[in-house]
Amino acid sequence: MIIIHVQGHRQPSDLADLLASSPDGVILAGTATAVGEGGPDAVLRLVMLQAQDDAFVVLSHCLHHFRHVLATRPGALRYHRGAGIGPEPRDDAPLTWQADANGRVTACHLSPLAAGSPLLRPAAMRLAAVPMRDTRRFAFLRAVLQGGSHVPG
Amino acid sequence: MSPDDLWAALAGPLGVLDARPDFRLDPAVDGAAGAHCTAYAALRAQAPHIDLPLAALVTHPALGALIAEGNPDALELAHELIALGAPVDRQVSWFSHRTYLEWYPDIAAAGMNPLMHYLRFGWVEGGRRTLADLHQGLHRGRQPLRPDLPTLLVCTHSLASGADPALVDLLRHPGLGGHNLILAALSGGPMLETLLPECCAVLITPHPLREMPHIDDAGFDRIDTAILSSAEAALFAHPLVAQEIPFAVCLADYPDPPLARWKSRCVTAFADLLVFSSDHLRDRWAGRLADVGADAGTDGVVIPPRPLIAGTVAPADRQAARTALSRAVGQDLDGRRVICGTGPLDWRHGPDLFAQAARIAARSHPEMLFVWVCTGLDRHEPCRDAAFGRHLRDLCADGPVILLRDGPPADRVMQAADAMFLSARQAALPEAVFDAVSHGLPVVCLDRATGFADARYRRAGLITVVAPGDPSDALTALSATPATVVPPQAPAPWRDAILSALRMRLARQRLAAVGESRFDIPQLFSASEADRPRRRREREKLFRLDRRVLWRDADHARAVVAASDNWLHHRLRIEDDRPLPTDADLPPFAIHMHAFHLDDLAADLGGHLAFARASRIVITTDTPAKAARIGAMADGLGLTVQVLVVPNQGRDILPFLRLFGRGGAAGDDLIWCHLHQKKSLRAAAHGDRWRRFLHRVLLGDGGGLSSALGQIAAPGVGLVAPFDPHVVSWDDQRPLLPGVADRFPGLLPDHPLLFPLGNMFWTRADVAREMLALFTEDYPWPAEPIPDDGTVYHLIERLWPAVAARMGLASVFIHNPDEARI
Repeated sequence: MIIIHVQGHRQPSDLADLLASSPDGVILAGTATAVGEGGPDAVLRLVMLQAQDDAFVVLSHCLHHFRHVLATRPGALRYHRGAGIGPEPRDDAPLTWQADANGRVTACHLSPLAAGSPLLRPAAMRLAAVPMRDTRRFAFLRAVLQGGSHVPG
Repeated sequence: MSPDDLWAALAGPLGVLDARPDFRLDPAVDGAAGAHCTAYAALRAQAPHIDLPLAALVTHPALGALIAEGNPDALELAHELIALGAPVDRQVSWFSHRTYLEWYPDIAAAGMNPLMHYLRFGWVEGGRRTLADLHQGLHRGRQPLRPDLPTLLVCTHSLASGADPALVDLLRHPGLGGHNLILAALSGGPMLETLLPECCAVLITPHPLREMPHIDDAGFDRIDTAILSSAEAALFAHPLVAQEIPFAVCLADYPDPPLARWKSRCVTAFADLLVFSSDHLRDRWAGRLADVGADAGTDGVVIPPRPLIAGTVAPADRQAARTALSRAVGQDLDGRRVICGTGPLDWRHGPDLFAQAARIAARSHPEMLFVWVCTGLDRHEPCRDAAFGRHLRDLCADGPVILLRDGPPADRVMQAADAMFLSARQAALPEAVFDAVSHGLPVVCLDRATGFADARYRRAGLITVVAPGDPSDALTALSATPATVVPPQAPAPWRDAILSALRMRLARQRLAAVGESRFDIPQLFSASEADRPRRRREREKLFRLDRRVLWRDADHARAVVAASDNWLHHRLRIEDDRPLPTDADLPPFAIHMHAFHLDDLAADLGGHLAFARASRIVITTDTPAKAARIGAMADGLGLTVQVLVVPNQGRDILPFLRLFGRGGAAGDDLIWCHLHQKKSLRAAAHGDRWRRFLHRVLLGDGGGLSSALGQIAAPGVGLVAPFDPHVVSWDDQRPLLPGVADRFPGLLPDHPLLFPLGNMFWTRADVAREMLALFTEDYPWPAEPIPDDGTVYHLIERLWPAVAARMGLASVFIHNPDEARI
């Protein structure tokens, strides 16, 4: 499953390609006009009534509001800000992400094991509610998923 | 432990001991030297009875022991400890200051001390609950709460015997496992004791929303899903939405009175899954579902609560039952075919149809004996509906049917019977049919009158469906040999089947919405700031389920209208309000106002520039005295007003339409605004705000004109009305639609989406004449008093855009976000 954080007010033009690359489904997250309506069953839509820039908050919303759907689709979970290339999946890491020069997280990847962890949703929701940099939230979440206590600064 | 030791131990952590080492002396309370100077002493001097509720509140064991042994300082200590507030109040008692103020905002608004209020007034008055009442309503079940299992909450309105048949079906298969089961009810009853062995906990609370968050029970902290056993349990939807717990609602009865409208609306709007016991019932709910935009296929599912299982009666039991029945009815049953029926003696259950069939059978099937077992608490009384009772007595004269009021019970009669005639006009899934089939009786029922007419129930082979209206068809079926009985497949228990369907429904979710939408109008919760997060959750759920209750914003409404392929919706438009310049060049326009109530009329006439600019003002009212007062008001404001006295009929709208009829006063004016005073005895403050909203959007204010005027003057526009944040459907007017449907060039839509909610608008004279022609002037217009919904006048309110569209004209809805609707 892949989450596309749609930027601006236009639907992604490469929806068919996205579906081909993510047969489990695509979650479009963005404004009502950006995510549109209708389309194939594999496309889920998260309408954000206020624009949201933080990748982590978008991820936590998807984990919460589509929890019943995600429960039926075990597998990796990816996040992309708009179009772009995400981090290379690593078998040894439950959560990887990449950020741009401004520190904004532009993509992340949750391994199948991490995406199915019962800790993921509650931890993500709690972290999303705390005001802190996105990269730090992801670091905390990785620590939770790894079961470790060390959180990089 | 002494009172002083207790005070030190419990108050010490709060750091109050320095200022108050002795609880008997409160520096904040004035008093004579040497006397006890506490709030307790002061309060008790005025109201000695406070000791009773105070003692009952205490939960702390040591404090309770002091009270029990009659320590003279114990109650004063209890009061002073509770009065310290959180967390001590909850540590020592069932009283929480915070909870009491949360439950009773009037106490907070009055600035009263909650503890003082409860002890002095609340306990005496009754009705003011504390956590003690909540605790008394919580009953521990015999099942352990297993942390490895999900927890299911089943909600019912009543635990009284026979009050909720669906609850019995939901709990019919105990011990299947798979989840922790907890139960909540709005009121208690004898079923409690039978249910406790199956549950982890049972809560009885009349106020689920405000009380459930305060329950001290692990099960209630970890509810995963919930099932409401009926729409009567709709109050439980509130806490479930607040806590984002998905839930299904069992709809095993009709959406008609006595079920309150708000309950059917609440469950259809907010339930994740609607479970019907038959296709028949799902069809009957279809209009209610369409009203909120729910889809019977996606959001609803038919799951029979249990299969019809055919049984037999042992020959000896049958013989004994026939002997007993023979004695009870005073007739020899040898060679007789006994046809049984059962139910209360009311129109809905159709004992009159049963009796009609019996009268016909007396001639055509003399071997048949019709026996009706009367049920219900008032079976000994005459029918509540006296006319129906007389009719039934006439039908039963000469004895074609025997009414058993005190004879053998229904199951004993079924043992003796040969067939059952379910003559009910409306009976969703009566228990008597399950019983009859279990006794091996073939059952004849009327089409479209019961869920047993569904193919899924007929499959068992013992149900025969006949058309209503011809008892001879029923007699033919009742005299026939039953078809071969088909053994049913063992279905999953109802509860498990519902949970499975709910999981599938949730997994099919394709839409979610997060954030604050433009229109923050309460549905389940209060308008308080504290409830803002809950209101956000309720709207997020409505948007996720794609229910039509509130628009997200005007763009949402525009998108839904644009997406519709209905001919009527193609003529709808939403425009933002852009007030006109005061010197705008406008065509002549007339304003009609119907003024039944005159309270605010002068302020309305003087508060809008549009009245001064109108070429004509017509005010209708119902008495000459009111007309004289209106004339004086107009004179005082320097307005020229034509006042017409009209019959008090048809609320505001018929007086308006009659302006355009024979001898009407409309004249040659082409553009009209229709207004009224929007008064309701039941919603005064709300109604005033709504009226102000409508008037200002349509007219503008004292210094400017609304763009509505410019819109109605534009070519191709036939109606202009305020855009309302609520999405309102045909509602109780839906049954009236077939009467007008063929007068339009296309199908009327399942949902109108937009219409002049509140029945105030700008229109053209031609459109008003067309509306009157739709019904004709000689239509049998209902006279006052009329109900608040379901009349032709409420239908007209919804039909304005359709009438305009039929004329090729658009309806424009003006969006003014600065005007408060609620």
